[in-house]
Amino acid sequence: MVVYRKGLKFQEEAEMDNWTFGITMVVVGMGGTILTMWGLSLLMGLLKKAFPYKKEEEGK
Amino acid sequence: MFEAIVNGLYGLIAGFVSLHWSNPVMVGLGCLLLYLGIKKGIEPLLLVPIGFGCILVNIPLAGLMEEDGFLRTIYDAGIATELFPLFIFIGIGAMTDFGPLLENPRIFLLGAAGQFGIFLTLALALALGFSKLDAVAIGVIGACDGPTAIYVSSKYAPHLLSAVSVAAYSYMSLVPIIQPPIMKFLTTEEERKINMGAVKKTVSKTTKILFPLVVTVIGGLIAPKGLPLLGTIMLGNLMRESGVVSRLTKASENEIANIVTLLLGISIGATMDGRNFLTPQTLMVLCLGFVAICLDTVCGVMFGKLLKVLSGGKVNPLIGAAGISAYPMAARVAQREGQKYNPKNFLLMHAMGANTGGQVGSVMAAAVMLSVLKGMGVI
Repeated sequence: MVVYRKGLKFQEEAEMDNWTFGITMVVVGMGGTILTMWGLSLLMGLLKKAFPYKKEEEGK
Repeated sequence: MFEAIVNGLYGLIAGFVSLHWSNPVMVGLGCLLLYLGIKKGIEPLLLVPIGFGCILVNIPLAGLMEEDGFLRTIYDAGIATELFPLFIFIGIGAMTDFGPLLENPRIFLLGAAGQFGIFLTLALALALGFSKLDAVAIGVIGACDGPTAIYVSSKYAPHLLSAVSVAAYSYMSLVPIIQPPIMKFLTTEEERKINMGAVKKTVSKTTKILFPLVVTVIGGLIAPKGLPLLGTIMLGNLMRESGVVSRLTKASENEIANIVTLLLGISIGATMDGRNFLTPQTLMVLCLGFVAICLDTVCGVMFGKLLKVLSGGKVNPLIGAAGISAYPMAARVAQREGQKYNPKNFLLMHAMGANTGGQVGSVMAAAVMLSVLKGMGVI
């Protein structure tokens, strides 16, 4: 059982070479981060419009 | 009786006899960290406990990092379980005002661009022959965020923890020295003079309260593996903005953060055993960490230039360099550089927006990275 797991793990490692891994991380990682942050910026822009700042909030 | 006396005397010199050549070197390094913290005021809250932990662990035969040693107990309780960085994050969330970021949500993008160094350095580390998870831990130095770097490296590359955390905190404190030449090289004098005007107060309390909830839910759904990081920083911020749990907020930003910083620092120092630390690998980690911070700055400034074009020249690209997590140093650097070329230029609040965006961005980038790794079956 242990040997099988070790073997399986080795096989998974062997399937993805460093080049594929690196390129995937750069593309999906950078793309995912910027898309998520872009989505958050849109959402927060909408929230700002939905709940506008009121002068009375000053000093609270 | 004579033999007993000799054995007894040997017990007193056994520490000297057992010294490895690397131990005195590391004691010297520990003293250097103490000097930087005490004399130069560089991140003293961290460098003092790290430096002292480094000295402690390099005194042979004390067994402080062996099973039941007190440093091992602290390490196992807070680093191995990843609790210390998460507690620190609650404090950071409680201390951070995301108002300047929410005034201009576009600046979120600068916080994302400032994290590109993580992924580019990861690729570079792979090219230099590091394993996948080692490369991940090295890349995360580019988050410029100590707790995130510790969280990721302690989980996936614990043997690199000391090098990664020392690099992360050292380069964070060196941001005022590392960034200005890059900012100057990548921008024209006209760009550095751009005046962005004053930041208006336009964010309601409701929006500020909803912000941590939205980031937690959306970020958690996109990158669930990073939810501990996101959730803790946002919990701290929700407590701050809600204004109804001031005791918890104060405890998070003072007592809890202080106690955990002490234990975190001494635990990191305790991983700096000379036999493991003084290797070519550590030197490479330190070099790659430096590259990561430089790449963050380059990507941030270049993205700032892009925003300048898209906004019709209203954005000063210097604030792009503040899109990293080193808060508030990076924002102060942008302000200082801007004022050098236009004394009437007050970029600080805009740069603070980018800087807090960098805090969210660094956590988000780490969360995305962990989820992509999980998706690929690497972790």
